[in-house]
Amino acid sequence: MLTRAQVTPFVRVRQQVLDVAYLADAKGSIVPFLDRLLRLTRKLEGRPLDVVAEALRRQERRVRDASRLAGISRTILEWCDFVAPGGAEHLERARQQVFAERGSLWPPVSGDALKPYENAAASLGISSAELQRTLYNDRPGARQLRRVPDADGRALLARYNLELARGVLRDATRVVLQTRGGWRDVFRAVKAAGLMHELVREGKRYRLILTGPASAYLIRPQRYGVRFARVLPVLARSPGWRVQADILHNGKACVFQLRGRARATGSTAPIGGEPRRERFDSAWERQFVRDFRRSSWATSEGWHLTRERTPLSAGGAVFLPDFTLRHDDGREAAVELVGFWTPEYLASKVAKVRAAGSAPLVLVVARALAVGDAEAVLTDIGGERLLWCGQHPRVGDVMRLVERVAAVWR
Amino acid sequence: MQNSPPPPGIAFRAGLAVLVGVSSADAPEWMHPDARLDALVAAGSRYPELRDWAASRGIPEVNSVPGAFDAPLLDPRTPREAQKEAVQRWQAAGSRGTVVLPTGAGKTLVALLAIHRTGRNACIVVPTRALVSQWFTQLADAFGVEHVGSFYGDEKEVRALTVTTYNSAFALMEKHGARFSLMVCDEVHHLADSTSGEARTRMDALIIAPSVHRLGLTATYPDGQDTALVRALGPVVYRRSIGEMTNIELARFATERRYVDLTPAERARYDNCTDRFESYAQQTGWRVNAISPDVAWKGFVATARRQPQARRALRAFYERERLVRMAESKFDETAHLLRLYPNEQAVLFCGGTDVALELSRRLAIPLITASTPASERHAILTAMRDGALRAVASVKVLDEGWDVPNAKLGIILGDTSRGGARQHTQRLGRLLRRQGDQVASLFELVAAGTWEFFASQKRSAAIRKVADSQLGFGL
Repeated sequence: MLTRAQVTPFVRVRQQVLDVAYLADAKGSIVPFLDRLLRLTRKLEGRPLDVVAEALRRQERRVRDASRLAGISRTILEWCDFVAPGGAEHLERARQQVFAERGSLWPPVSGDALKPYENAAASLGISSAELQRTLYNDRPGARQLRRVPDADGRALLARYNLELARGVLRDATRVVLQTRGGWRDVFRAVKAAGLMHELVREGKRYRLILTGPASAYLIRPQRYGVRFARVLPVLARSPGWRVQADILHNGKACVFQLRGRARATGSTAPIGGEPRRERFDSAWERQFVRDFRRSSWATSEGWHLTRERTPLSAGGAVFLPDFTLRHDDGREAAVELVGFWTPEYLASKVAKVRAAGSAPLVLVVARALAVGDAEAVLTDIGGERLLWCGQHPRVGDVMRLVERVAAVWR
Repeated sequence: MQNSPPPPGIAFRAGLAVLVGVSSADAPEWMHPDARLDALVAAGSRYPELRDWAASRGIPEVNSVPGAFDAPLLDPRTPREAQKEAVQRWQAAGSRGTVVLPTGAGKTLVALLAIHRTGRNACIVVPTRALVSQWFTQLADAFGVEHVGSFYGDEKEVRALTVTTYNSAFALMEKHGARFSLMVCDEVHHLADSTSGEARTRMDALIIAPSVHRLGLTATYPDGQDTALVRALGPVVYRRSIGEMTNIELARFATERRYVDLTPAERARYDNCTDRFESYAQQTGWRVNAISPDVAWKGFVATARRQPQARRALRAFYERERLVRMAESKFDETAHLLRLYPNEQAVLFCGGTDVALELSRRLAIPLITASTPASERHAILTAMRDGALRAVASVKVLDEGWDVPNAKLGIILGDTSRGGARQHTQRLGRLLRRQGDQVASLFELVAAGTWEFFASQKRSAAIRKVADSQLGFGL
């Protein structure tokens, strides 16, 4: 994450709206320069972090704005892989030996500088002078550059701009997210960050309002800003994402807005990365989707299946079913497929279905994939929303149940 | 499938005191509705009040009640008068407040006694990782290792007595705050610097902490900037100064400034950097035109960001600082002083990691920085206490709180605060733990004819302020 000094110079507030001067390649000179920085970094593969960082810093003679370069350099360094040099794992022990030797050769006198190193060096199979030189090669700055991402200047530009936006969120007190998909990853990130959320549905879209639990009571209500910033890279991989944040900039409240994949025009630039394709959790799900798309329910009955995980608010938590089925007439229902299951796993699913209240939701459970006896768990959710199946769910059975429970959501 | 209203209950959750199943009208007036939790909430520090309120109405608590801590105190030391008096005053003040004692006067034992007498689980908050391991050892020795855990970085083990850093305290309190009735905050001056955003961030942990008993410890209490401190921890309940305790409970000390010369090559480079920096300052007049030195400096750094000429001047300034910090003759003089005092354990206070690394490599002595792994740091400090190691180098980590009673020789090769009084007083404090009649010696190495002279003058003034009845030769 960029430091405050690398972000603040590019932030302006006008009429309580916070704007970020993203890096844009209006004249066509920025992307080639970023390509050059990446080439320079690749040339330094195998060198220590300190050396790579200094080489990037020295490029400031080629730029007008040193903060911009510092931010880009940090983005590159955080993107790269660094590893401890070979033998670093033995250095702590070697140091202990060296220092213990010095303890018995106290005080240091002229001409005995290498004496304490001799024993420890012999056990490592290197010379005492070499050990003296590499004594602290396990410190963070000595880690060696192993791999530079296979990316070009344009990708670096997008990543840097995303980092700038994350830097702004550091001062956020409340964040509202929207996306057309990728909810599972977003919720996972929100949970990992220890944030609280409210889910508000507006037509077919959802707004996820994120807040820090104790924000209202803290001296520094931006306390959770870094946690908001942690969610942004995950959100930025989702399709059609948007962010609106309340920011406390220099003690003044303002609003910051951001949306994904803006075109590079004027002062804007592409932000974030390519949307990530949603994965199937199992072959079971993939098979169901394939069967559905070939069936008449999809081809002639007006039903559409999306892998967009429409969130359901479930008693303070959020439940993300596997699929959403929507009809042309506006009705829709969510479908959750339960493959291999244990009584405990199923009990937690049932609790979520119950908490979802009257939301149109269908639970499809594979009887053949049960691990243990757990039918009792399912008795209290009622037959109208539960479908037992064999090895694979049959599309016709699922859709007949969907027809019964589907409703127009408001 | 309809959700029924939850039964009444209270909980501490994510830094909040939470009340469910009770309407606003029936709840304490300082609780506010929170739609996210569908409950009434208040800052976590009000949880003890909420618990009392709930207990009087028979409303159950979801969290387990903080456990009683009844392990015997195994510390063989007999508390001195000042330590006993400090604990009595703290208890008389309702087990809330700060004890101000000079370094070496035994603040840790005050905390151990407070934990023992309170008889409740305690969380100990310290500024650095080095201090986590030191407190861990002291608590383990005093109460048994099975009762002690630490919570910072990748190490997160919560036990009846848990040591954490100010940076990790918020996360500890959010998740496990309800387990601790007592909060001990070491070096509390870190919580009071009103100009520092970091201090404000640290204070957040105290706002959400539900601990009813609080003890602050410091040697340098920030009088005049302590409003937030008093609110969070209570007032100063006991105070003694270095002057009051020297030669009684603290060692006597002497300070000496030693000038060293830059080598001809260093001098030439220093002068060249000075010329580059000064000529820019004169050309642009940024220093003269600004209303204060701080504003002038900020303006200069901001200009350097956008203007190559200013950037070169700023680089020259930093290079000048590096030359003074890394002056060759400081290394020679350090080795010379170590030879002069071969029987003393020494602490070498450096102005930057680069100096400390170089010193460590050249003299084959250990180094402790913020990135030194906990295991190595622990091994170094233990070996220092055992006398197996004779000297240790550090930048800032050892400025505060750590304890090597036998170290009576300090050498300052530079500082990180340009002569800051607090840093200097704290560094001196490292040497003052009394060991018989031993006199502590603190040497300052100053590069002659450089800006460092002025930093050294500021340090001297700081020492004169804390104690004017010392040997004080060389001042």
